Amino acid sequence: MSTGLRVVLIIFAILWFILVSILLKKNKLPIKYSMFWYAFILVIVLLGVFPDFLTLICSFFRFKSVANLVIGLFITMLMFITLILTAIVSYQKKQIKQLIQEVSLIKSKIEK
Amino acid sequence: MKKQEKIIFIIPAFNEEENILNTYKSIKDYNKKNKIDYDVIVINDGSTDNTQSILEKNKIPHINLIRNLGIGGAVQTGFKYAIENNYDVAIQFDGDGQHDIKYAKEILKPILDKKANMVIGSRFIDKNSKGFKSSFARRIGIKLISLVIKLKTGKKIYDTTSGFRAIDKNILKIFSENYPTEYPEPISSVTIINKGLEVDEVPVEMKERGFGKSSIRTWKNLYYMFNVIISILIIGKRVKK
Repeated sequence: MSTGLRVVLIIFAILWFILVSILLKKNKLPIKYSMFWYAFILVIVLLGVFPDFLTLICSFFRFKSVANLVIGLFITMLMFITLILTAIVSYQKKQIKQLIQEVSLIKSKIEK
Repeated sequence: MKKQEKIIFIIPAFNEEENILNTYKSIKDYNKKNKIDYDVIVINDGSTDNTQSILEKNKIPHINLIRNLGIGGAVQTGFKYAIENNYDVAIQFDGDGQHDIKYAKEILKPILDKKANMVIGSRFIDKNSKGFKSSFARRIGIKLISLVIKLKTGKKIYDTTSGFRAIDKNILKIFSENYPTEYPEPISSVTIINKGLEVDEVPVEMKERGFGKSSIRTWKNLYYMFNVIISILIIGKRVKK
């Protein structure tokens, strides 16, 4: 893996770490989700510091370059997060529906 | 003497200012003519036209949803209302003038005779019946959904998307807890058959909508069908929480 890519990875990780910490401090990100992001940052840092692991996987799956593998991993993770978010949104939609129904029923009872 | 069953018509209405009053009147006239007393509750699904003021001006019993929920959520609100007010039977009835009140007796009969838990008013049972039978493309879709339901449950339901249906108290309880938001008609029928409850179909004729647009548009047909079939196949395989 080129030194350039390693530096970019580590800089990215540092920026991400700062961003997550700020959100956490401002109470805009629950702790349970911040744990996920810190773990993600940790993995990136480890990959940047010990690139041999990535090179190994790369040759095993016959990727042309480590950069491709890194991008591939990122995309996979993003799709995973999107899927989880879809599930969360659907669940919340159901809860909101129940709220609207109950409020509407109670409101019509009061107005009667 | 048999105890008098409490019966309520649930009418979901989204922007039905041109049809809703006629629909309500048709039920009231029917009541008067047959000396019966079916109650009505209109669920105003966050209409943006004059539906609400028409409901209020004419003193039509209604619930205003504070936000638009779509047909499934609106009808379910009616089921919740029916449970809260201790009704025995609920009839879902469209507010757009498609359904004809004169079939109410036929739809109610199997339930009142305790022969069925749910009765669907079907356009396709009586092959000779005239009346409105939907567009060609949609009929194909309905047939296909019908086939999938048959394969899945072993029970033939002809008019899978009919919104003219009656349910008894058992199903009222089930539906008020859990009712599909999307494609409620075909999917809820499968849920009921899977639970071992009895679904019956009686022939009815429907009219074309009075005014306005149907909620299922032609170009959405294919998408609708695909979704319904997937959902039907998945029902029962889901783990209950």
